[in-house]
Amino acid sequence: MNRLILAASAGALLATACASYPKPTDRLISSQASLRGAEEAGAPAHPQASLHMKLAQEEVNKAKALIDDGENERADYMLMRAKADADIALALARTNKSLAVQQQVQEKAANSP
Amino acid sequence: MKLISLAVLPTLALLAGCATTTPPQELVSARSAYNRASQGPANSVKPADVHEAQNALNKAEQSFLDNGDTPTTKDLAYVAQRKAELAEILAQGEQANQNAQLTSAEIEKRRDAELARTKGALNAQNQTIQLQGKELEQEKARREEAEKRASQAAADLARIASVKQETRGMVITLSGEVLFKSNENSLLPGAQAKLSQVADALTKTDPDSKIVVQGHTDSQGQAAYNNTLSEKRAGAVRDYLVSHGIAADRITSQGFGPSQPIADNNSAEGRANNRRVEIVVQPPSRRAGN
Repeated sequence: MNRLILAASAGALLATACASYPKPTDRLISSQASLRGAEEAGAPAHPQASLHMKLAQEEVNKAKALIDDGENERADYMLMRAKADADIALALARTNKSLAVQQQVQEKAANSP
Repeated sequence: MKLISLAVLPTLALLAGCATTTPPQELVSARSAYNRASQGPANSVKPADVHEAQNALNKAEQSFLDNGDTPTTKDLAYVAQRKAELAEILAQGEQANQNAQLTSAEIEKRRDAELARTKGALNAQNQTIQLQGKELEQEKARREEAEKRASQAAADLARIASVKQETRGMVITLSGEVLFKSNENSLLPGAQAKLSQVADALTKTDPDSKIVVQGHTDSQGQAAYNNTLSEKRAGAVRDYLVSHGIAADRITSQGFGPSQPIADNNSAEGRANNRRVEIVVQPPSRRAGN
């Protein structure tokens, strides 16, 4: 009887431990939003930014599969990767534009009296 | 049961030993990415992002210390590496923005300076043009006034003496009979009245014009005597005109004797015409550039 209770409570504990990690919905949404932001900022036109977008997309896909398998915690960390890559893609796209503007202005300065 | 436990323990210890000594590649990459970011321009340009990368790296290191080379440690290390890279990319963009702003400001400054220079030059030009316009107008007015006075003077003179326009200027011819007694060089009282009118009219002529009084005789008598006489008579007329308002430096006198007759010396009438005083008003010499 005692053993049975112990085994049952241990099983319950394990079950709650698994179930207690929530589905990383917020992080999924935020990762996908970052990806859209990168796309809108023109990341696909920039090779390096485009690469990070692909990585982020793959990581989002992996996370979704993990969620489907009930691996919420692993999915959450995978989405951290996705968010980090999407942020890089967005920053690269913006920096690329800044560099282009800088070059344009410097050429203008070289040609101005 | 105990046997199994004993066999498992060293394996676990071995695993733990491995995990603490060999960090995953992700963590190695994260460390070097963070070192690069914290030692580069990102540290001063984007300190908050470098700090965030440091926090992320600390989490990964802690996870490695606590749990070893687990998927979570790898994920955290991966995120840390990306955050360090992000700080560098953001710093690069920020520097580009700052450079572009500085350069734009420099261009603006140069443009303003150029504009100010052009404006200054234009103002100076406008002032010069205005001044030239004024001078031209004054000159035009002055000339119109001078011409008006000259034609007035000519009209006045025409009423009192014979006036002709010749290439040497306006020539006023006065008969010797009217001015002087025969062989004398002092002016007759009647001549003085007439010369006063001539002087009046001459004051109206252009003050820049020069006046020459020329004395002429007929061919009777000795040429030397006639020369002297004509010279003295011209001088007398000149002196009279000077004493009646004509500036002395405008007017000179010459005696030509019988050398420039205008009529036949064989007739009494011709000789009378040759005995004369001519007052020549020479137009002012043309100004340079006009």
